[in-house]
Amino acid sequence: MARIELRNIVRTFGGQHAVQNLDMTIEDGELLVLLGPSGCGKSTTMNMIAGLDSPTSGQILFDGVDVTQRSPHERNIAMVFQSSLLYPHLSARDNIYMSLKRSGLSKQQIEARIAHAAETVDVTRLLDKRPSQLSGGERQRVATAKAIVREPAGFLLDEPLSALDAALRLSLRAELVNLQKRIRTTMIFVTHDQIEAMTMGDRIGVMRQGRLEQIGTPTDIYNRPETLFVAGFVGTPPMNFLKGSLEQTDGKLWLVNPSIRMEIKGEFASAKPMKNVVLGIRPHLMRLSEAGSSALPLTVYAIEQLGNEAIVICDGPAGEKIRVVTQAGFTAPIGARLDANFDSAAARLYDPATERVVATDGAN
Amino acid sequence: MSRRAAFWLVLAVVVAVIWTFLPMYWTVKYAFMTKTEIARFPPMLYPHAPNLASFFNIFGFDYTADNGTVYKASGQARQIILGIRNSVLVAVIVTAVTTLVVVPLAYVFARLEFPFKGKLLAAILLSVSLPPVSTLIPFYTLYVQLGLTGTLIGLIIVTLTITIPIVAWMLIGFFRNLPPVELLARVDGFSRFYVLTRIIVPMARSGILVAAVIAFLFSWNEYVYAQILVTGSNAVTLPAAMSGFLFQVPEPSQLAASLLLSLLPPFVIAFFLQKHIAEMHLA
Repeated sequence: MARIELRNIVRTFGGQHAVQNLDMTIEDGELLVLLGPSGCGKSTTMNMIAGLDSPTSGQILFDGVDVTQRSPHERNIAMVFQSSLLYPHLSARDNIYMSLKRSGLSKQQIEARIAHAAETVDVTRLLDKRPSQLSGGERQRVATAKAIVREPAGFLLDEPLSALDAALRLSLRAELVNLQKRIRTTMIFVTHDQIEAMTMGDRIGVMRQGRLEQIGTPTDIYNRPETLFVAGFVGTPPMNFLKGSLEQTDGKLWLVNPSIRMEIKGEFASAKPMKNVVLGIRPHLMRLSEAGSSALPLTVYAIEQLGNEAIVICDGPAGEKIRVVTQAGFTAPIGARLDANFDSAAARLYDPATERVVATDGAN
Repeated sequence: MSRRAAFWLVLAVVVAVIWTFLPMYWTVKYAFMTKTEIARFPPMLYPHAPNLASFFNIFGFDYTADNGTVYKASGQARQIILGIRNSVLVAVIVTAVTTLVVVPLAYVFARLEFPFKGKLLAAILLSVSLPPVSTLIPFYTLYVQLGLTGTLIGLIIVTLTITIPIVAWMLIGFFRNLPPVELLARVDGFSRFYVLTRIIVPMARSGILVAAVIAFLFSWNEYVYAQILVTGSNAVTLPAAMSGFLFQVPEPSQLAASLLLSLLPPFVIAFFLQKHIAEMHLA
């Protein structure tokens, strides 16, 4: 277990920036999820933490000690790779044993450690099987046992669940979180699946084009996304965006566009007027009403029934798609006119030029 | 499948089997027949009085038939015996050297990145695509100057120029398809050499075995170079020695008998390695 610090990490591949000026601290015993679309640099970042790749510049510290030049083995990290990679020609037991072969432990110690690791993830009865004889979920557990048997400073997982079917992912997700809390290891989990990130992480680091967009708790990331990208990437269904300008009249701030004029309340009420602005509002925070009753006119495009709720997908006044979550069983003919309203205090404002949240005078 | 389709399918298989096995059957038949029986027209469809005369003759023994006819030992016998010894020697050495060279070579090409990799790979493919005949004359003149004609070492060197590129080409493809266990090995703290010898080689066992067999068969069956470089010398190989039955004194029965002998090793190998060959195909 260790506190892992990245200081101003840069990684370039042939002039292309894979990771740019990354600063990040992962606390001892924390589960950090690196989330982002493919090619965003999250796997490169993990490989650099592991020592499989070296940064072009910058420092990596484990518990304050610079390990930038050390090999993965010297860093004492453990890693579960995509599709739970194992040595295909070795039994589960030997696969786990390979983690300790270079450890210098005695035979008895090694055997005790293997037995304990196998018990922790419940693979004792699978120890004599080869990877090809194991199911996807069993392979994942064996790969986990191989990782924890080392009692690593950091436990890194690179999309280990992406090749599994949905039901299995769901149960293994919970298993991994449960395990991480039990053994209190520092864990870094890479995924492109925002639901996986939300459900597993103590904190989430959202990456895009080699940069860390935002790092914070799942609640933070969901409720207070700092950038347009994070706002659009996290959350199902995704956040709705309305374009317009910010105008100040009568000491109040208004979002204005050809179809609406709405007073901005809450933390953004103190923002400065600006020509172009994007308002973001979660589909769960919008309410549908009869046409003509409020400011945002919509046309029904499709309705998705989820059983516990329904998602109404509408065409907005500027042609954008607006999603509204409403009660299950809601019906309306395609093409019907509806209105939507929402409390502007719950909305977020972004500057489309910087793609960042609009500055306010408040504490934020 | 409908009955009609099944019928045509079976017919196609039967034709293919006959197409493949008829020449082999003809060879087997010849081996147990006498010269006069072979010369008969219309040809006998099977040996009416099968005898082992040719098998004795090619090893230098006279053979007395039941009716008292004596079939004389072949004058080629010494060449055949030498040929068997040399063929085994050359094939074993070529297989061993090829495997030792190609495993690390193929590993490097399949799993590592380095400058000029693409061009070097193309060079290997190019040497696979060259027909052996095209390098025959250069090799011959070079060998005459170096005094390597009529020597086993000369033949081994030439044969390696065929087996190494082909087997390397095969193994590169096989190694590429192995999972990226190098990552695991680095986390586990193993060296490159350990990864190759203790992880990749055991994982690629069947591929390497098949590659070695291919090298063995290429060497065992190699005829073009042997015919030019070692025929008539003490370094003669079996295919070159057998051709004596065709070109010096035509002896179809003895040719057939020695052909059958030369088929034995490949046959035995193929039989025992079926499982691995199938595995290689799957990978």
